[in-house]
Amino acid sequence: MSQLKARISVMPLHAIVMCLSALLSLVGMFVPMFELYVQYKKQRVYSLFSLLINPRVHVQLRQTSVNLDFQMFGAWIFTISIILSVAALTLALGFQLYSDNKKKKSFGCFSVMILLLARLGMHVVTLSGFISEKMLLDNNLTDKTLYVAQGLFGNVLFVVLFLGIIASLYGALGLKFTMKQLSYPYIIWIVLFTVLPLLLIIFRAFFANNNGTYRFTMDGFKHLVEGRIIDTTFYGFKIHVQMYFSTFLTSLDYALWTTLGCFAIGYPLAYILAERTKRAHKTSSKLLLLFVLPMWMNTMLRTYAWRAFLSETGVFNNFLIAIGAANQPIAFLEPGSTTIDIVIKLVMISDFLPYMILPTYSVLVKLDSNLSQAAADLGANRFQTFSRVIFPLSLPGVISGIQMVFMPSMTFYMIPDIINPSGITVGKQIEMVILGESTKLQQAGNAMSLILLIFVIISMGILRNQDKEAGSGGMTI
Amino acid sequence: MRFLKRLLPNIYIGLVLFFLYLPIAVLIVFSFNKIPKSFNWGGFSIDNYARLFQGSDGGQLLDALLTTLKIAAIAAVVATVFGVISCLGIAYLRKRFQNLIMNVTYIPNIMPELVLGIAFMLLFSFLNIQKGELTLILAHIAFCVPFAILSISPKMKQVDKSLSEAAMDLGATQWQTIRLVIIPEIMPGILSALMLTFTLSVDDYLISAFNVDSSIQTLPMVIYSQTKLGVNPKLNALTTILFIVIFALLLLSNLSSLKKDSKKAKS
Repeated sequence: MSQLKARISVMPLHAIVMCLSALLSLVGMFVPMFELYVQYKKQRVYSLFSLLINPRVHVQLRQTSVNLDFQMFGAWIFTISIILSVAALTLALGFQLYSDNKKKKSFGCFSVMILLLARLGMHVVTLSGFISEKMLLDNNLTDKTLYVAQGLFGNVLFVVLFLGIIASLYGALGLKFTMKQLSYPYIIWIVLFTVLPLLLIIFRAFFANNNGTYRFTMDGFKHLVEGRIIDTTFYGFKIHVQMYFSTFLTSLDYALWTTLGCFAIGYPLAYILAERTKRAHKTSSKLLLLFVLPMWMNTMLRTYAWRAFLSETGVFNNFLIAIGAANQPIAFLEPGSTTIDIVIKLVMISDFLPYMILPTYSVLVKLDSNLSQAAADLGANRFQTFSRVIFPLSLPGVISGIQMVFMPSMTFYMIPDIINPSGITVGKQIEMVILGESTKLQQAGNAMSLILLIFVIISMGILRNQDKEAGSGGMTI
Repeated sequence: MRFLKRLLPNIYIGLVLFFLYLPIAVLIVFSFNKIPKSFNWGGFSIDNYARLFQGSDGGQLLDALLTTLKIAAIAAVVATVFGVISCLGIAYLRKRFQNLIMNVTYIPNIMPELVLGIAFMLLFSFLNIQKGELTLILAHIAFCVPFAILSISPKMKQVDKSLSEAAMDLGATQWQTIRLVIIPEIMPGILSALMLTFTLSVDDYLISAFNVDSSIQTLPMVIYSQTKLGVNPKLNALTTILFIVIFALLLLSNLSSLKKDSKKAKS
């Protein structure tokens, strides 16, 4: 027994993965993983075992009832699956625990791989073979209205079996494990979920999807350029601009003001907090927590609360009337008024403020307090100390704060939308067209996403350069 | 004058806190509102708490809450496990390659959620995957993985390589070295990655909105659709409860760290 334990403890990683995968292929038969849909309604969730026990299914629908009979199918698929799984598990454990010969081990891995492949094949066959022609004919249904889909556990089993096959292939080839290899899945992941999606944004701006085939088109950009010219007012000026450009201008206006406001309010605050932390170590870092806590409250609900607070029958108006500052309710949220723009900017500042305070604080708190003393000794007054020493050194924090506020406030369209449902911002525009029905507008949405992506990359590039300069500037001081 | 100078920062802190907590206070007060779907005050009632998950609106709320928690739990665990494995591997790559990978990891981190959501949507349509629960979970995992890696990799950098070499010299297998030496060292990073990815996933609206069909609704989606028609005060009640739970957890963890500090100071 102790020998067995020792053998398990020196088992290589790929063997463990292989054994677990084989084990799960057995356990998986008793876990509900197939979902039966009749006319788009989920009726039941099956495991192979539950199918064996209960092969006849009677489903009562609104007008009709459906009789399904899985009898033979369930029995033979269960038998084959259980043979495959048990064999895979025995081989995987047996060769790993009771054989020392390298060649035998790799042969064991190879046979386990074949068995797991067969089990995976069985899993897929089960999914597609659930519904027979007879069942469809008997119940007057089509394969679109009666189908079986894979549930969550089914997908998990799929992934696990796939991992097991890779692990056993690994063992069969007799590769040696190095730590480096652990990063290979992530490299594939990066290609699939970071590089490919961003390339797709570029690709889809120029190519329209035509039932699986892609064809080159400039329709999206044409639509953007052709859009109507509208008259709007921008800071009191009447301007005559293209519709999409005016939307972009509005969003940019919000984002700039939000960033500026967050900086103006957040920087002094971070400075005060950092000074406190330096002086008295314990309590003030807890104070910071109070500024982070609002982030855990849903942003949209907070925004809605602002709307409730400032509405015509809201608390603020009642308060103003009660103290006699106003005779009648003030319509702060009247669409198209200047106050609503100010309210939107204020709410956005209140929502994004913690994102500015945190990075600025974390840089400021690390600054050595001797620095300002040295500056003072060298004859700088307090303003000079701040503008020449402290501020340049805190720039990296400010810049990462701007990064965390500027782009999100430009694209997080829910805040302006909740305060002013009739207004349109870039994000809302893109969401409207891209999730809409019209293919032409979808193409325009793809084009807009590309433009937004380019804008993001440019602004991030500028900020990064600034960051580097600030870093080197800090070094020379 | 000096008194004023000392008072001024406190006043400033107080004002900013007021600005930040005003909407939260309004939200909490309105969770006791008697009339549904309105921002007019209709009288005090604790009905919203007492019958939180009852009735059809409560049922919808419970469904959305469970979906959100389920997806966040899956996304957080998978992203963190994957992040740990990747970080282990990345640490042993060549320096140049390592920098390249970390730079690419930063990309989704600084991209606005809107762009990421659209990018994932285009990816799934390119791969011919129907929108649904699977795409929602995949998108959440994909969005969480970089965050997990970015919070684990600093800890991984602090791990002394000679430590694992020593373990191997003493006869530990690679798997044992990872399990017994490296993982305990990077545990704080793993925990913070779990927390971060979970909260990100719970709070996310934009990525979900682009990657599901109408059959699934997460809590933020319910909130957004309700802000158009008038928010049900039960939603306020639910978020208030969640807020208090988080507050209590933070307080507890802070208290325990304070206790540890004082113990250290004593010894």
